[in-house]
Amino acid sequence: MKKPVFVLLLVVALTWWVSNLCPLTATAAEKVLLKGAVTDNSGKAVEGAKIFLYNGPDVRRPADFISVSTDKDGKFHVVLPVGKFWAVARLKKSEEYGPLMPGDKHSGEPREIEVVPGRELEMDFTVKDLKDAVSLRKGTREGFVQIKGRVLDKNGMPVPMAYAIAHRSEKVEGLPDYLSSWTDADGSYTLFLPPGKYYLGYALTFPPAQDYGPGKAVFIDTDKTDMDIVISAVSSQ
Amino acid sequence: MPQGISLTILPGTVIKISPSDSTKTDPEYLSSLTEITVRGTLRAEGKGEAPITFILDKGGPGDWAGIIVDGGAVILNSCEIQGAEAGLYVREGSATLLNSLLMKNRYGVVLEGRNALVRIENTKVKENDYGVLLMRGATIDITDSSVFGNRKKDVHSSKETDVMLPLRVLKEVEKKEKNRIYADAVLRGNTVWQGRIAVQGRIRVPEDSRLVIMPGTVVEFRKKDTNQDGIGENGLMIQGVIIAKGTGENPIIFRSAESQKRIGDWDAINIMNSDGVQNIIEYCQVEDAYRGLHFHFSNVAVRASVLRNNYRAVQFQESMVDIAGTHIYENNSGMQARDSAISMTDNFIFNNYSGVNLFRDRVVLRGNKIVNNYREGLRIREGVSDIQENLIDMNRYGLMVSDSLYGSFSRNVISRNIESGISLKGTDNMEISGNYIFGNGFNGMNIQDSRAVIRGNHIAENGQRGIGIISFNGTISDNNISANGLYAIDLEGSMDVSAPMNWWGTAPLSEALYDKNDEPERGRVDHRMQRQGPILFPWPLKTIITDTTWEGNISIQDKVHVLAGATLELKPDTRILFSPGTGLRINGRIRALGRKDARIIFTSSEKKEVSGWDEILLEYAMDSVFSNCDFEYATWGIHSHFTNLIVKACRFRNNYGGLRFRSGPVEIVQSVFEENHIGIRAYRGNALIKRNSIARNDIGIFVREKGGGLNIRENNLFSNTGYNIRVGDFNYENVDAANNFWGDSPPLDSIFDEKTEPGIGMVIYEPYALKPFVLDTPSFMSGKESEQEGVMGN
Repeated sequence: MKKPVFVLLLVVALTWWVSNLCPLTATAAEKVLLKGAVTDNSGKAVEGAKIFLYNGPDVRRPADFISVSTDKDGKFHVVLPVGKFWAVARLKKSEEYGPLMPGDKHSGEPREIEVVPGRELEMDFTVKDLKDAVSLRKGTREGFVQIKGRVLDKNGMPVPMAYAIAHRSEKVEGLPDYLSSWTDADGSYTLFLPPGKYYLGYALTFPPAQDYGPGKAVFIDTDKTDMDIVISAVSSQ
Repeated sequence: MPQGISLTILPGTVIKISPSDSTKTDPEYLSSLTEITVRGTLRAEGKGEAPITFILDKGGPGDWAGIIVDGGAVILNSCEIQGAEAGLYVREGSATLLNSLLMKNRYGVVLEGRNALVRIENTKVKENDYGVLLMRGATIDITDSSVFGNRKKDVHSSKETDVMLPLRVLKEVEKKEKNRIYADAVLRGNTVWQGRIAVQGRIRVPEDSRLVIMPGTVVEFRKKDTNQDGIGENGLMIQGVIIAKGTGENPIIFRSAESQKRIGDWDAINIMNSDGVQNIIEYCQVEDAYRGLHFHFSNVAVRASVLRNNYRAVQFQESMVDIAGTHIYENNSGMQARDSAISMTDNFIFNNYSGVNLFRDRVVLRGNKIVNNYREGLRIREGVSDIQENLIDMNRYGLMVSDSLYGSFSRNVISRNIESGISLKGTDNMEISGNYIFGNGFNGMNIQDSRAVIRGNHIAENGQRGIGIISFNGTISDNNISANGLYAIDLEGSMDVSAPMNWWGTAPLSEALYDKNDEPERGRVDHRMQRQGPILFPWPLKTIITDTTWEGNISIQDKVHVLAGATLELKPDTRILFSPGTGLRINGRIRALGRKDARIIFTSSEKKEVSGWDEILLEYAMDSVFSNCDFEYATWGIHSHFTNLIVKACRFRNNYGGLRFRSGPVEIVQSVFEENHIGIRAYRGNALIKRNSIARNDIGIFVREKGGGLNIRENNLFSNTGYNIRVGDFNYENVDAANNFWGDSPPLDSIFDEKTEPGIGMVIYEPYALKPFVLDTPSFMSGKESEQEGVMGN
C-alpha cells in the first residue's frame, strides 16, 4: 500500500507544482498573435519600425520580445505568450538597439496589453520624431497665425533694436495694432496676428516716431517664416 | 512660521508628517515636499522623559523636507527627527539643537553659507545618508555630540568659492513725479502708462483691452496685506494684452512703493488667457513681488529684463513663453513652469534659492548661464527637452532629469556643483553628448533606471565618481572619464553596462571601475577597446564667466572670451587645438601652468603653418601666467595689453609673431623664440626680457615705440635673419639691452637703430657677452610630441 500512496502523493504534488509554481511553463504553450500597423503623425504608413514588448512597465531596458520590422504598409506581427505586456513602437535609423537618437521615432508612453489564450490581438501605433515634439509652435488661440522674418537694411544686413509692426491701415496714428519685441543682433522678429490684411512695416523707436515705415499691404492667413522687412533709409554699414 | 510669529511645542508632542510632492508649490515655500519653514521662531521644549518627535506617518527617508530655517530662529530640545530630506536645514538664521536625535534622514543637518548659525550639543546624528553637510563655507559648533554611523559620509564640507557674476541692474533714468494713482481699477480699451504710476489696488485689463507701458515708466505697488500672511496683494491682472516695451536707456521698473522694500510687497504681473497676440515684457525690471511674472494660458515674450528679489521670479503653465537675455537673480525661486512650450536663450539665472524647475514642458534652452543657485540649477520632470550650450555651475545640484521620455543634452558645461553634475532618474531616450562635466562635489553623473547614449563627454575631477550607476541601459562610449575621486564608474546595480572606447585616465582600470570584479552581485562594466589617450573635446561655450579649468585635448572652434572676474586655468599636459581664425580673448585671467614633463600646447587644429590660428589676446588680464607652454602656428602666440604678465619657460615657434605687448609689466624669462617672423614686439612696453633664447626669427625683438621701459638682459639673441633688435620709426627712446649674447658677428651688424636711421632711439648693447649664456630654457618639442593623439588599443 505504501508505494501507490507515495505515487499518488507525487502526482498530486507535481500537479500542484505545475499549476501553481510554474505557470509560465503551463501557459508558454499558449501563443497569441499580436498584429497591427504603425503610422506617423500624418497617418502615413511607417516602414522599418519595430514593436518592443516588456513584461513590466519599465521600458528603459532590453525588451523581452521584439516584432519583425513593419513592411511598406506599416504592418507588423509578433507572437507572444499569454500574459501582460507593455508595448512601444520605435523606428531607428541604425540597426543598433538601445536609446533613440535624433531623427528616430517613438510612440510615446508604453501601452498595456493583456494577452489571453485563444484571442488574436490587434493594436496600431503612431510614432513621431521626439525632437520634433520639442518644436515650440504650440497652438496659440485658434485663428492666430505666426509670422517670422528679419528686419534688414538696404544692404541686406540685419538691423538690431528695431521691431516689426502690423497695422490695419497704412498710416499709424499713435500705436500700431500689433508689434513685435525688439530685434536682436540677427534682426529676427516674430508676430502673432489674427488672419487678415495688414501693412507690415517696422519702427526704430517706441512709440513709433518719424522713423517708422508702414510697409506694404500683405494678406496673411497662414504661418510664415520668410517675411523679411527691408528698411530703405537705414544702413548698418 | 512667518516673521514675527512664534510656535512653541510642548514636551511629549508627536508631530506626524504626511508626505507630499507637489508640482504647484507656492513660492513662499522652499521645497516641493511637506516642510516646516521657520522665518519667525520655533521652540520645541522636549524633555528627557517626554521628547518631541517629528516623524513620517508613512514613507521613507526624504519623503518630507524637514525643518527649514529661513531667516528665523529654532531651538530644539530633546527632539527626534526622522524621514526628512534634511532633518534640519539652515539657510539663514540660527538653530540650537540640544539633547536630540537626527536619524534615518537623507541628511541629518545641512547648513548653507556663513549666515547659518548652528550649535549642536549632546545630540546624535546617525543612520542618515549624510550626517552633516556644510555648504558654501558654513561652519557648525558641535559639543559633546556624536556624528557617526551615517551611511555615505558623516561630515561633508564644500569650500566657499568667490564668485563675481555679472548681475545686471536696470536703473530709473530720472526721478519722476507721480502721474497717476490707481486704487482697484479696470482698464478698458487701449491704456497707455508713462512717467510714474502708483498702484494701490488691483488693476485688471479685461479681454480685448491693451495696456501699453512706455519706456522709462516706473510702476510702484503699495503693500496691502489683508490676510496678514506677509504677502502683498496689489498687482496687475492682464486678461487682454500687455506691451511693456522699455529700452536699454529707458527701462521700465516694477517695484514696491514702500520705503522699506521687501520681497513679496506686491503680488504679480498676472497674464491670464492671453494666448493670441504675444504679450511683451522688454527691458523691464521686476522686483519685490510675490511672483514677478505669472502666466496661465498665455503667449509671452520676456526680453532683456531683470527679475530679482521676488519670491518667485517667473511662474507659468499652459503657456508659450520665450525668455531671452534676461537676468533672474536673488529670488527664492527663479522659475517654475509646467505644461508649456518654452524657449530660453542667453539668460542668466544666478544666486536664487532654486534655479529653473520645469514639469511636463517642451523646452529648448540655449546659451543660458545657471550659476550658484542654492538648490537645483535646472530640474526637468517629464516633458521633452533640448538643452544645449548652457553653463550649469556651482549650484547644489546641477541638472536633474526625471521621468522624461526624451532629452538631448549636448555641449553643456556642468561644473563645480556641490553635489551631482547630472542626475538621470526614470528617463528614456536621453542623449548626453559633448558635455564638460567637471569638478562636481560628489558625482559627475548619477544614473538610475534610465536609457541613454552617453558619448563624447569629458567627465573628470568630480569628487567621488565620474558616473554612479544603479540601473542603466544604453552605451557609454568615446568619453574621457578620468581623475575622479573614487571611481570612473561605480556600478551598484546587477545589470551589465556597455562602456567601450573610453579614456579612463592614467590610473589602473581595476581601480577606476567598481563592478562585478569587486563585488560578485554587481554587474560588469564592459570596457573593451579603451583609449590610450583622451578624446579631442570641442569646447562648447563662447564666453567663460566663472572660473574654469581646461585639461586634456580641447579643440576651439569659435573664439572664446574669458570675461572679467573669471579665471581660466589650464592643467599640465593640456593641448589646445585652434581652428583657423579662432583664439582666446582674456579680460579675466589666464593661468597656464605646465610642467617640464607635461607642457601645455597651443597649436593649430588644421593648418600647420603661420597664422593657422589667430592669437591669445589679453586685455587687462591681471596676474596672468604662462609657464612651460608651447605656441605654434599662430598669428601671434600672445598679444597682451595693459596686463601684468609672466611668461616663463615657454616656446614660440612658427608663428607670425611670438609675443607682442603694450604696457605691462611683463616678465619674459627662460623662453625660446625661434622661426617666427617677429620673436617679441614691444609697444610702449614695460618689460623684463631675461635669459631667453631668441634666434632664427626674421626679427628677434621689434621695439615699435617708447622702448625706454624695456630691460633686455642675459639673452642669447642671435642668428635672426633680419635684425636681432629692430627699433621702429616712431621710437625715440633708447633701449636698454646690455649684457646679451649677439652671436659671432659684431652686435651692431644685427641692430637697426639710430645708427642706421638717425632720429630713432639707440640700442644700448654694451657691455655684451662674447659667449652664449647657458640658459635653463626648454628644448624644442619633437614632432611626435606635438602630434600626440588619443588612439585606441586593445
